[in-house]
Formats: sequence, C-alpha cells, structure tokens
Amino acid sequence: MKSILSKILYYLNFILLIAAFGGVLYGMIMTYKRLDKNLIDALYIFIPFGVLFLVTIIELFIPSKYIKNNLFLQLVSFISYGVIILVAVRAKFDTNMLLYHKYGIGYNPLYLSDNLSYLLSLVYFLIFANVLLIIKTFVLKEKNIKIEK
Amino acid sequence: MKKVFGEFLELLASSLLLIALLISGFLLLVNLYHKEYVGYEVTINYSDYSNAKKFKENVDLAEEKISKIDLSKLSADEVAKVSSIKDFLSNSLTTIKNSSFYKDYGTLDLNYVNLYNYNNDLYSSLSYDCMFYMPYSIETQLRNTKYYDSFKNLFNSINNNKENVDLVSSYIRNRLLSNSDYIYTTEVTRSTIFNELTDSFTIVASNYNEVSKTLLSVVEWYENEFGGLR
Repeated sequence: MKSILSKILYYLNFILLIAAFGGVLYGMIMTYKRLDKNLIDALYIFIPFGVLFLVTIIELFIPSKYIKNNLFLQLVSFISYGVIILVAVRAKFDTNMLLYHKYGIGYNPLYLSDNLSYLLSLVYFLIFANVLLIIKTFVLKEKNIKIEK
Repeated sequence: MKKVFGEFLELLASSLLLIALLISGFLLLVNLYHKEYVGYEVTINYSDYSNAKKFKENVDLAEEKISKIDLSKLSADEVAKVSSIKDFLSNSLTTIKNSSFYKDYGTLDLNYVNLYNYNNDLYSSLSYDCMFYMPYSIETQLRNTKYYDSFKNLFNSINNNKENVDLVSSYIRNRLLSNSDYIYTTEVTRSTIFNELTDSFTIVASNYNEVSKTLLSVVEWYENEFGGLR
C-alpha cells in the first residue's frame, strides 16, 4: 500500500512540478512585463526549478527504492508543489486582495513576490533532499555489488 | 562504514524534508486563513448610514430640480450666458448616477472589492467631474457677468471641500490596498485592517455625501439666481 501510494505520488509530482513552474513563470512574465524588464533578470528564479526538474529526470533512470518508495519524500514534494500552485493561483484569481486591482494587469505581482522567497526555499530543500538520496543510492549500491561478489 | 554514511545521508535528507514540510504547512495555513479574511463580507443597509441616506436624498432632489430647469423662460441675453450650465449640472448628475455606490443603494453584502470600487469612482471621476470640472466650467462661463460674485463664494467653498474629499479618499484608498499586504495575520493587522470595513464605508459614504451636497448647492444657486423652479 505504502509502495503503491509512493509510486502514484512520484508520477503525480511530475505533473505538479510542471504546473508549479508554469504558475511561477506566468507570474514572472506578468511582473516583468509591467516593469518593462527583461525576463533574463529573473533567471535566478527559474534555475532552481530547472535543477529540480533535472534531478527528477535523473531519478527516472535510477531504479532506487530510496527515492521512488520513499513516501515521506513524495508526500513533502506533493505538499510543496501544491503550496507553490496555491500561491500562483491566488495571485491570479484572488480578486479580494485589493493590490490585484491596483495595477490593472489582472494579476497581483506583489503577492507573488512576497511569497517567492518561501517558494524558492522549498524548491532548494527538495533539490538537496533528492540529491542526498541519489548519493545514498549510489553509496549503498556499491556496497551491495561488493557483497554479491 | 558506507551503510552508516548512507543512513547519515538519509537522516540529512529527512531533516531537509521536514523543514520543507514545516514551511509548506505554514504557508498553506497562513494562506487559507488570509483568504478567509480578505474575503470577509458584512451585510449593510444604506439607510442605516445617515451620510448614505442624505447622499441619495440630495441626488434625488438635485435631479428633480435640474429636470425642472426651463431655459425657454429666460431672456435671450440670459440664455446666451447660462445655456450650458444645465448641461454641466446634468453631466455631473449622470456621473453620480453611474457610480457603483449609487447603483448599489439598498442592502448589500459589502466586501473590500465593493468598497475599493466605491472609493475609486470617487477618487478617479466623481471628485473631478462634480467638484472641479463642473464648478470651474460654470465659473469660467460666468466671468464678466453680474452672476459671477455670487457664484465665486460658492466656488471657493467647493474648492475647499474638494481638497478634503481628495485627501480622505486617498487615505482610504491606501488603507484598503494594505488588506493584502499582511499575509501573516496578527491581532494588530486584524484590528487595524480587517475590522475597518464598516468604518471605511462610513467615511466613503460621507465623501459621497459631500459630492452630492456640492451638486445640490450649485443647483440651488442656479435656482436662486435664475428664478427657481419654473
């Protein structure tokens, strides 16, 4: 049961990661368009998402039980992506926040920027946790090979 | 040794995930709580607010008086001088009647968006149309006529009122905009921002009343100078 749930969350997290990145990307496009700034200046926001996506792709090719069957990792990833999507959705659709109306762009860029540091910290934590588990996989895999010999 | 190192790595990863879980949980709860607060609504009845009630009465009275202005009974000389005053008054009346505050008159579920729109109408169009453009246009038209002096006093008092209305509506606007600033709701932000919905409505209604009083005072001036209801 635990293993099935982990696997479901593992594949669901792919979709959520893309949706979370899409939400943040849309927010940054709206914000930078209003400020008439080049989107390249926001590269530092997109790089962590790119790295996390890369790490997730690498994990696809590593048959590791420490990652795919790790319910805690998958659950935290699921909640984190959910929170990122929630913030992105509120910035776009929560018209009760009056700053939404201030700039007349149909978006609340200040709300996103207020939460951005939290969201990026979540992404960084997920990157480091995933990388550590990948390293663990390789360390223990080597040991297993030696035992078999 | 490698097994211990592997366990250490897992412990480290779990610690990081725990921190991520705590941040996520914090953000999730804070957002849900904040969403509930910014969507706060209170049912109000305009007739319970004396300023809102007076505003409606003034507008209705001004409308009645404007509709009875009959230029055909004026002398040709007077018509040439004041023909467009009725248009200025009618335009001001139309601006007031097009405001969301006037349209919503009655009982409604007041929220921040309603109130912001009321104040914005006042800030962006009513104050300009009814307290600047209309009296200034009339004042310009009456220059070098015998009616100028009587209007000048009224014009000065309207200017003073406009400054107050602009100042208060600008203050209310900035206060309302801060409703989404404080995502981490504390007792202080709650008492200074979220509980002020009805208080802010009272102030906005008072500003609308000032605008309606301006229109009515100009209509009454016109009535006194050109013979009243005809």
